[in-house]
Amino acid sequence: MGYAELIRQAWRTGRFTASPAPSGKRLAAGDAEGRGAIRGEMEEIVRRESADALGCLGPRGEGTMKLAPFVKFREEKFGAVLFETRSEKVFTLNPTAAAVVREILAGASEEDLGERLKDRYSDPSGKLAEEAETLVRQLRDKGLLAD
Amino acid sequence: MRAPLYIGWQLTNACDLACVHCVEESGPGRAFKDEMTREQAFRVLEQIKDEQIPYVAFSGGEPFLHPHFMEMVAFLGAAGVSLKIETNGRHLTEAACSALRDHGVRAVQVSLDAASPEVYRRVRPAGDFERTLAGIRCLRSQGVEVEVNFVPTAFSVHEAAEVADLAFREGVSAFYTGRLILAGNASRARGLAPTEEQYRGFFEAMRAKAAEYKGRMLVRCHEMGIAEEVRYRMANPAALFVIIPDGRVKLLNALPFVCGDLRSESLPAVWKAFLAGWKSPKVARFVAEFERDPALLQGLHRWIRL
Repeated sequence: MGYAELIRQAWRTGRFTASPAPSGKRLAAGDAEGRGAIRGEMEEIVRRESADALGCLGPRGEGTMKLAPFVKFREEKFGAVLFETRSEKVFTLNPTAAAVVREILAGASEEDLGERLKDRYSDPSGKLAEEAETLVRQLRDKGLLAD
Repeated sequence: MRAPLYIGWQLTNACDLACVHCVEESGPGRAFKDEMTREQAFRVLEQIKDEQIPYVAFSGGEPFLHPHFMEMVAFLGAAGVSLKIETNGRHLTEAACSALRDHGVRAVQVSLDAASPEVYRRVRPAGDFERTLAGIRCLRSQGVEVEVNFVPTAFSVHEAAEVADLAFREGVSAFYTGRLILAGNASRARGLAPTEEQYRGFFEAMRAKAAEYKGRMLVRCHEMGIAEEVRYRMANPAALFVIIPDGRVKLLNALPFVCGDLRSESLPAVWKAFLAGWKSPKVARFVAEFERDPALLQGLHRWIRL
């Protein structure tokens, strides 16, 4: 099993197995430099795997949405972009749309998307939930969401 | 945009074919003397991951000839970057195809410029039509998405529609074509460019194929001439830059301007220079002159640092 699949499986099942370091080296108690290097490496691994983790965290039950394969999301100052790398089309997202896609990446279903947005942002009029519903429809029409 | 969305990376200038229509000056033994080392290339890869560049295309020369090609593919696959490989199709063994699948490569774009072995050999001396087809079949058998690129010449343009049909039969997802660009090796061959009459028939045939395969295989033909394309890009710069094998970065493949060097500058710094570069009066002057004198394209590989 490849490393990426191992990580995905660990996220799905919650089973994490630590192995001893292959070099067998141990850090001395006061080895601050070594600890700093390990911390840097761990942070790097977390950063690298966070995109995968977002796609696997939480129950992915009926109605759970996810981005179509090869659709990439990147946060920008103005909101975000979605890049459909098969058709090589770029879609720019305003901050509201970016927030919706973030929830999709975190495992929102069509049913609970509105509630999740309400929990996170103030939406007394329900306008945000309404806009989110429209956006999801548009994303689906453009093939940016996986069925 | 805080970083490019798409990077075209020419890994090496070496190629094991010497195609008459090549837009680069690639061929056997044509690797640059100062192509990036493994360490330099991996520093760039790390930055691609850190800057969350979503899409990268490896090309060349022939990317499979790069000594660290598959290792670089694996790195981007693990980083979640969408990757396309542009190849002459000679290295698509079963082991290579299954490795590309395992690394999650988005697509492999194979150059296929003829529908018959005879015409193929004229365009790609020493090329092997059947071997290329076998490579496409091997990719498909491994579930890797395949795209085909067709470059027309005066003596192959009549086979374009047939190549599109062949591509469709082989399960190809996209067929890309357009005008021949008379730069690199192509600028040295006489009588290579199709006539305007041939182009008219070619564009008509491609429009018909686009309609025929709509929804089943994308057929995209760039009818725009290179001067129009460059003019359009100047008004609407794409968030795309091109890394050449020695680590320098070009504004656009069809322009000689270099805006940075990834061996000594960071990717964010080069991105800033890229955005500024498009506004440079030098670029505007070149584009205006190029519209009057298309032969300027022959100097495409004499790079000008902005």
